[in-house]
Amino acid sequence: MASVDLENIVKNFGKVEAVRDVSLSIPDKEFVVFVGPSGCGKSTLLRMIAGLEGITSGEIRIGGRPMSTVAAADRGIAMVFQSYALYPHMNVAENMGFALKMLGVGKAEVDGKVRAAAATLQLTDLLDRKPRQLSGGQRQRVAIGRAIVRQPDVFLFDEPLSNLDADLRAQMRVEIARLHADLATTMIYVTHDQVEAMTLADRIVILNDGRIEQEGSPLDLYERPANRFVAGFLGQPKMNFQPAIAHESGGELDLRLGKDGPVIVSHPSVSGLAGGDSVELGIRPDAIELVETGGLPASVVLVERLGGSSLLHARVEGWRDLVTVELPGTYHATAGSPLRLGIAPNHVHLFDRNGRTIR
Amino acid sequence: MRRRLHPAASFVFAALILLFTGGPVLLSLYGSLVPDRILFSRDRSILTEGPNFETYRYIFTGQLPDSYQQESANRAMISDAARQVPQSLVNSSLNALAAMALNLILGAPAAFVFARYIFPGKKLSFMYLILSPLVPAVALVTPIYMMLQWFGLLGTQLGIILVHTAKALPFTVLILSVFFRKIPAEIFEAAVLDHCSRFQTFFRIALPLALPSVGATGLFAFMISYSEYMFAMVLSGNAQTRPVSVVMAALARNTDVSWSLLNAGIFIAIVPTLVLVVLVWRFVVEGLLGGAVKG
Repeated sequence: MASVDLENIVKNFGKVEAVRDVSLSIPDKEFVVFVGPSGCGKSTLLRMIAGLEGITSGEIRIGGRPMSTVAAADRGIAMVFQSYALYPHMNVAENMGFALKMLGVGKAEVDGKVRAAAATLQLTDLLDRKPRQLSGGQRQRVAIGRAIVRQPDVFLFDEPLSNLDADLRAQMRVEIARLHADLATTMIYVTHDQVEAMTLADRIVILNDGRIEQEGSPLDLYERPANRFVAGFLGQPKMNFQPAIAHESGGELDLRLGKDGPVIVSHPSVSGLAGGDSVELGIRPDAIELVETGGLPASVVLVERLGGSSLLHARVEGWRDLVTVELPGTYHATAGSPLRLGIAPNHVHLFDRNGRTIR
Repeated sequence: MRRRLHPAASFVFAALILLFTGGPVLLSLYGSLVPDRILFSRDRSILTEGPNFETYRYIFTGQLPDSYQQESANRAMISDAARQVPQSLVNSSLNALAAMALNLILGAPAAFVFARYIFPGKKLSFMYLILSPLVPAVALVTPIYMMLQWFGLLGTQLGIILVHTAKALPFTVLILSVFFRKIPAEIFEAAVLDHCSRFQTFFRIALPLALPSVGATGLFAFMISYSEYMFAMVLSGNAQTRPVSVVMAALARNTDVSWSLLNAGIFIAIVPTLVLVVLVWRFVVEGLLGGAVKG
């Protein structure tokens, strides 16, 4: 059980800045997910916490103890790798018990701990198998079991599910969530999959270009993104963006397509906005509905029917991109047919020139 | 790439390869089992005369073949170099086994370090190692002779073993380092997290994974030493320490030598390599294929 503190962490690979001044406090027993696009520095950050990668400057503390002189093996962490990194020449039991064996723990005790971990992960029947005789999901469970056996203070997961197919990924996601509930241990989880981030995390840390863009609870980030990047990164299907200009007349503020263009949103519920400002509108696909009158005139381009819901891609006159609308149930429409889109003013996100959210 | 060779064509290729590799072995076996006069006769063969083990008897016991015990026989055809074949086989096998062991003991850790760690002078030393076999062996005979003389190792098996080890070492390091590099880095990182020191990572993780390659490179080092002639000839001493390549050369240099005796010597010399290949090769191929199929 331990907290993890990162203080002004910087990591350079030669001239490339992989991590730029990241500070973060992870309290004990929290499940934190680092998420971001490829190359954002999330894996590097995790590997620095593990001690597999040196830090250029800054300090890492685990359980309050500075880690700068502590070897990776002695940090009280266990890591689950993307490729599982099982030892191919050892069977499942040997793989899981290897760390304890290297520590000089007695055979009987190692055996007991391996069996206990195997039981929680339903691996008992597979203990004699070699990794190559296991399926991807089973290998992943062995890798997790290997981490559990060490009874670490902190679990580190480096994109553990990205090599699994979609079904198995959903299943393992549930198992990892259950594991966190059972073990009540600090877990740091790196992924580029925002669904994993949203479903697993107590707290999400969104990284981009080596910096933290925003951190907070999943719903907080979803509902109140700090900037355009976070808003665009979280949420599936993705948020719709459209440049607009604020227009003020007689104390009434609305957002228009151009200076004198059609009104997109009237009376947006934000305060930091003045007439004449250029803004970027962000509208989640589920915040748009079809209306009979009023709204924006649009035409159907394509409908994707997902079963429980439908994704409507529509063209709105004068808009930069197609608009995605998420509709409940099955929606039928032929390409080109006209419709009207209604946008709820209090569900609109606004971003300034620099991508920061206007509240 | 989808097109495959016609079965008949691949059969022909395989037969040709077998003819060139197995043919000489079988010829020497046949030649050793019949006396010279039958080998050159058109009417008689092993089928009419049956196998004759007299040359083998001579090599191992010194008892002359019956035909040479007659009064007028040309005894010059029976070279006493053939009598050195058994001892030279023992010498060569010892040399080759020792060179193989030294190669693996020195080469495997070196290959691991080259594959996994960064250290000052890494590029330069690796280049040196890789390029060193390009120097013609002839150019090195004199300096190495002088070096061994200085160490007092001339005419000893240890001297030959050291030279043969040095000759095979670049290949051992190259082949094994390529293999070590192919093992995913995450496995070694997992080992580091599992409390393995560098040595333990090498012995408990890298080496077991590399066993097929270790087997293959060991075999390679064995063969290089076993067949090496020039240094063996220059550096070896009396009949007691002479390796088989030198003895075979002496046997073949005798222009009058009995074909039957020469063939017996050749066949005996091939046997240890054949045994080793049969023992190790299956293991090597299985290991390599196992690694390739595993996802």
